Amino acid sequence: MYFRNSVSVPELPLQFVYMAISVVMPALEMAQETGKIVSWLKKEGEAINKGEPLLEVETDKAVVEVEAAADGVLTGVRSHEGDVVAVGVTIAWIVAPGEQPPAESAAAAPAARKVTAQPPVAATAPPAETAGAAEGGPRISPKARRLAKERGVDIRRIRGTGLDGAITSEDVLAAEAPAPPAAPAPPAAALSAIARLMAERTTQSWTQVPHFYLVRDIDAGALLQVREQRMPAIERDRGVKLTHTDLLIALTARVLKEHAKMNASWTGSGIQLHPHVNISVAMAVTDGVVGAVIPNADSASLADIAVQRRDLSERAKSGRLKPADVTGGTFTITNLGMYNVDAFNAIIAPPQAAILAVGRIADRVVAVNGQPAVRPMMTLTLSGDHRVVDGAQAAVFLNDLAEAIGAAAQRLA
Amino acid sequence: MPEARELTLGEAVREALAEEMRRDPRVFICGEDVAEAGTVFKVLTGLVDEFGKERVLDTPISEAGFTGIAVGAAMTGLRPVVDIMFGDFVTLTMDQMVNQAAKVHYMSGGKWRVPMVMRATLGATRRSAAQHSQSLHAWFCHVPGLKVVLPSTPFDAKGLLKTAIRDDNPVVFFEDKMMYRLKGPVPAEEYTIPFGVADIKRAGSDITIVATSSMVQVALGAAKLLEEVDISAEVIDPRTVWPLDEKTLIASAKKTSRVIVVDEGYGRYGVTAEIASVIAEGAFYDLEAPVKRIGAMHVPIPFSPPLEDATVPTEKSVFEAAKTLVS
Repeated sequence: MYFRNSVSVPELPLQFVYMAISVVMPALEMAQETGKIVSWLKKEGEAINKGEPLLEVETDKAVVEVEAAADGVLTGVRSHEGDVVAVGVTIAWIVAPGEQPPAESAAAAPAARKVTAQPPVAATAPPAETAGAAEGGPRISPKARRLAKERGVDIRRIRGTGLDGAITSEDVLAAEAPAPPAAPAPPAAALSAIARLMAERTTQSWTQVPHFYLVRDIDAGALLQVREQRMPAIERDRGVKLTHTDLLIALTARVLKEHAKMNASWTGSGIQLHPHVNISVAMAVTDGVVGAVIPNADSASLADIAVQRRDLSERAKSGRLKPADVTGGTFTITNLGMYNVDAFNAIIAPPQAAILAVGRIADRVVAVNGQPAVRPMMTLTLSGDHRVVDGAQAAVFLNDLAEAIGAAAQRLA
Repeated sequence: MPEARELTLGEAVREALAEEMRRDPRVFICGEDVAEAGTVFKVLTGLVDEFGKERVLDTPISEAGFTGIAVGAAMTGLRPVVDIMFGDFVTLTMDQMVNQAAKVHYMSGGKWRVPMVMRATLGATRRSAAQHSQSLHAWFCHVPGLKVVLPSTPFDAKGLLKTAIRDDNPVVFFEDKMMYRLKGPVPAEEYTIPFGVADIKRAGSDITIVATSSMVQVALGAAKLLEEVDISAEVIDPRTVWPLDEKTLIASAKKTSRVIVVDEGYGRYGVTAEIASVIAEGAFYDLEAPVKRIGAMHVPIPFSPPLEDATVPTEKSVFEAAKTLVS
């Protein structure tokens, strides 16, 4: 919380009654070490009101507006756009008119870990690290640990080849990205938080999560019908166009409710079942992809899902997703049908146990009752984490999902 | 240039003693069967003929007694070399060595010195059973005031023994009884080897094998086997386990990142424990794996030959341990 001195000292003149209030880099997530200042929304010397947007901060997951915690004048701005600042460090002051910010010595201790500003929405806990990092981290030789630290290599992504599977210095050197050319080294520094996070998370998943894939061709006729039936009312009442993705979110969430192990996480030592079905929807943003979450999608109405999905999608495009928008997902749906992709294998987003990759709906010739027929077909590819769920369990889920899609009208009635 | 001369380790010891006795009339030898018998290992053969019975002094079977005589003689200006036939018998000399020899210089405020050498043997596989096969050198390393020397070649044995005799402090000099017939080059001209200077017996880059006494020969054999599987082993002989050349050991550990320590004494609380600890402290952030210790099996040495052979480190066991560490 912002520190505010007592106001009950009558002898002091006004400017001392309102002590200066520090603006510090907020910790918006538990695991956040630093934040990048995207922009100041107020200028040095500008009067501000409590609750007004003061600056924008980029975390690993999103850009967040930080609000002013008090009325006053913004002064002593010491960190500027583009600066990466440790959490807890003072970046500016809010003072009474005419008051000076405190001397340097009063600056907050660097990297003090406290949640200081009120983020627009309370951030939920970040996803837990996946296996390997559990119980004190991977086995690693002292030399390798030192090298990894010196060279900034993330040891959680390294598979050890040494004694008893320990990570050796050779493993660290092999895992290290090739050294940037000596001359100009532009792109590394320019990597945005989203791009970096995507690189880290997909590498972590691809190297640590044992993926398996189930593929199923589905007649999407019923899905198209439901969309035709339900779209006009939803568009009229809520001003949003119903998409195939919205329908799949609703259907998948309802089927997930009956398949606990598909809506679960690998904790490193066991399986955690999640009581709520929160569907992550993979959304393309400028620098990569984020999973925006529609919470409790199993009980949400189709219209609510459509409204939420469009809101998330629009904010993803403008880079204004909040940490809470991208955390807490329990199952991901990714749809590349709009790019005319027939089918694809998706990388699981840990700690989730599964992801459903949706291809386009296209007319194909299939056998119906022994006769060739042209049907609107769609290919679903389910990726599963074999530590949490096995092929048979996932197959039953996929079969139930296929049946639910075939009976979409009834399931979404 | 004189031609390269080869001596056995036993001959090198005898030559060192003879040279020092010629050089300094204060030097004398005492112990059991040291005169006409030339010791049971025939190491001292001929010395009594050159130096007479007063300087090559046969004693009764009384280790505590003649070690005490040596301490007193050293305090009054002579430079005795005590011969303890089997290293197992050092147990009888412990009061003289630990409470007297090691303390006198300190407790007299530097007024008295004890410039004595105790020569003893170590090493198993001679079929000598539990009371004649132990390697008890670590006991002396534990005592401030004593220096402990473990030569591994004829060359080192001669140079180190001459240094030991000239040292003004009590020195315990352990010879592996299985190495007396080991041959190696020993130059005819005068030389000594300083204490506290390790010798790199073989340079290598993948793993360091620190070895003492006859285990140096075992380590060199293992290094040859390792070479065949493309593992380059460095073999380092500390030569004196106190004073210990920590710098060379740590530098090698930092270079190779993997270390095995081999010593024929018991591993528990032993020389390997101390050296491994020195390396762990000095090179921790350069190690890829825990320092591996190989010592005698923690049992009384059996008389049964196959069982006795199983208690000591071998080329094969060092080779296997090295392969595992480097894997």
